[in-house]
Amino acid sequence: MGETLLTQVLNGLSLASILILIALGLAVIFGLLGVINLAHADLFMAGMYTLVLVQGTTGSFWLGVLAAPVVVGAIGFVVERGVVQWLRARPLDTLLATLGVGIVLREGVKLLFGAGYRQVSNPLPGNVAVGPVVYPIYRLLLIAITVAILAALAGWLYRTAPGLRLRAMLQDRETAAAYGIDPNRASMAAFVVGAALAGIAGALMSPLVTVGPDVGVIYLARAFMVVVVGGVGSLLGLVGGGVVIGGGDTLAGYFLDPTIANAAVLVLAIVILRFRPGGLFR
Amino acid sequence: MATLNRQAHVQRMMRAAFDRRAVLRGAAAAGMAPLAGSWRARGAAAQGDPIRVGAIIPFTGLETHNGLSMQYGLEIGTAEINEAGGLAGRPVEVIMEDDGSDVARGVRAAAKLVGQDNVDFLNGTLTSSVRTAVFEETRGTETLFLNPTYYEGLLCDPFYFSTGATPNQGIEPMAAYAVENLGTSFYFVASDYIWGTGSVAAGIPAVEAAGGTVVGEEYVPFGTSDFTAVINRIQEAAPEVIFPFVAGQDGITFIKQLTDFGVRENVQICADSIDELIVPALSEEEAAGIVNCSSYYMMLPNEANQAFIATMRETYGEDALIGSFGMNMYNNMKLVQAAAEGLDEWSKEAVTERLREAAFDGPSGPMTVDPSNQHVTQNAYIATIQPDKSFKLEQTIENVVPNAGCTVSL
Repeated sequence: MGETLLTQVLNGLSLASILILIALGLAVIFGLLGVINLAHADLFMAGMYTLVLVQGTTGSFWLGVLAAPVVVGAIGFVVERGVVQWLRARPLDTLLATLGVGIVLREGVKLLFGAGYRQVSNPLPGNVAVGPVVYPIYRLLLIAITVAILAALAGWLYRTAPGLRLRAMLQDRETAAAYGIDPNRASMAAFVVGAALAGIAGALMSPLVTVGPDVGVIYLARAFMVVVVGGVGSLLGLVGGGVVIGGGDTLAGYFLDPTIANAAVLVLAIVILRFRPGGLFR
Repeated sequence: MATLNRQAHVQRMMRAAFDRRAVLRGAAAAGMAPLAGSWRARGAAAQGDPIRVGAIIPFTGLETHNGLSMQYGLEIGTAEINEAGGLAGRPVEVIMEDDGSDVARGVRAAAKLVGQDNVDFLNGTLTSSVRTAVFEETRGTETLFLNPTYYEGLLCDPFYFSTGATPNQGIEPMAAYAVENLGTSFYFVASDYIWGTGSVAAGIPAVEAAGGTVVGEEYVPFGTSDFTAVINRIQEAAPEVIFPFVAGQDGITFIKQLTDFGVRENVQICADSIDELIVPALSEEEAAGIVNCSSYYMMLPNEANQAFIATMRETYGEDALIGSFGMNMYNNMKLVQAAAEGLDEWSKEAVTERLREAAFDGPSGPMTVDPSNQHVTQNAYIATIQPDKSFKLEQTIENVVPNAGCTVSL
């Protein structure tokens, strides 16, 4: 019994960390800029392909993981400067514009790499004993990496000058500008960081899921659910959303068949939003 | 050079996806010249309008990775027919439509091809949901429709033919081989839609008839990206063999996570959908040891296949891949060619009548239409994936008669 319980706890933690990882970039851009970035799934996919490219040429997985946020952050920079900054006053239009950016990214990857699936080798195959339970090393590492990324992000937001400027801008754009904060630069920073987070998430997830040009979209809905259930605009909310959805999914998945479990998690999200429309942690 | 070729054929693919009237002429200009050059000369001399083939292919969506392979088979078959003088003396023109791996788009594509383009026959469809919907469309309009994809069967109509394997041509030989060579207790994991459920429905009796037992069955929704709960249940049930019918990218994710959880050390995987098009998505550790049954592999040693592969690589680049879907797009064209052989005038009724007796011996081996259900008698090939990800042929079961689960009443 203890063994089953520990397995389920590990499964829940693993799934929650994966969901948080996937939703991070979306939450940063949504929370700080109010922009619903529908290109998130494709930035995630771009991170996967950066890894495929770097692993293919250098043979190193971890170099690919480092390159992904740089490359995808750069893509984010271009998207923010080229598209998003001009639509700041029209949030509904950013929805359409980022959807379009996503299509361009997806089809661009097909042109460059072909439409087929790509291989990524697991850098840490094998399992390790956690008490009585044997668990994949890579999944355990993902939990640790997610915690580390969250800590780094919190440090940036709450302990550095750019983070302070961003939070000031979030509270009141005009007043922040009056105090000499350039809202334009702060917004750009937020978008680039969000894109970079999507990129590193894609790279880190590659050993566990299918890598192809069209795969990103299946993660978008889940990422949104995590962000909305947790509450927009706070890191704590994101963690809470990830734990609730990941835990709920694991629990439902253990007792129910997968199709019904999927529906059960959606019902859980709806019930939460009925009673706390702003999200759990807001 | 290989990169250039890849770009060229991806560009062709994009055109097929976006230029909704991508006909063979376009493909000829882009790279089919060696094959198609000669038909233009003959085509000009042929009498009458071209025979129009409507092709429904998933160039985008879940099954994107199969799109190009299906285009290759279709175009090479068409070029060969035109080189040999066309069908009943008329050149063949192809109109390709992208179904986006989506039912609604597939039905729209079929309606457009049948209603607006007045195609003479349809070739294509991949997912079972699209096929079933298109079947309803073509049945109503009595359109000749040839399916290239192995599936759960149960579609029979006087104007519907399938080179795609029926369950007894893939699942049953695989189950029999697995019970003898891999283990006797089985666990089924399937996508929760008609192909998955239909395949498990065929798989359970196949395993039991071969002397095995089924210790679990499970259905997962489309877009499943985490199989942890399923894998836990598999570990608890401790089967010797897993038989997955998980579609598209979900199926690859499933294999990756099974391997990551260390399940593969004690459990074998046998399948009917992990072919040479899927393997590029898997690493050596993930791919090695999987046993698969298919009606076609690129590695088949027969002469017709070697020649086909050479033509394909010359036309589309060295890294071009084709699986059973793509090869059956070709086989479908060749069966129609065989049926139209010697006809002075193309008529749907005459061609359909003769298709019921048609035969073709090509890259997949000998193929004969079974008039009772209009599916084909064909070989089943069982292969094991090697540590270098190549396929090794283990067993050929010759001339398996199709059991579609239904019959055609004329």
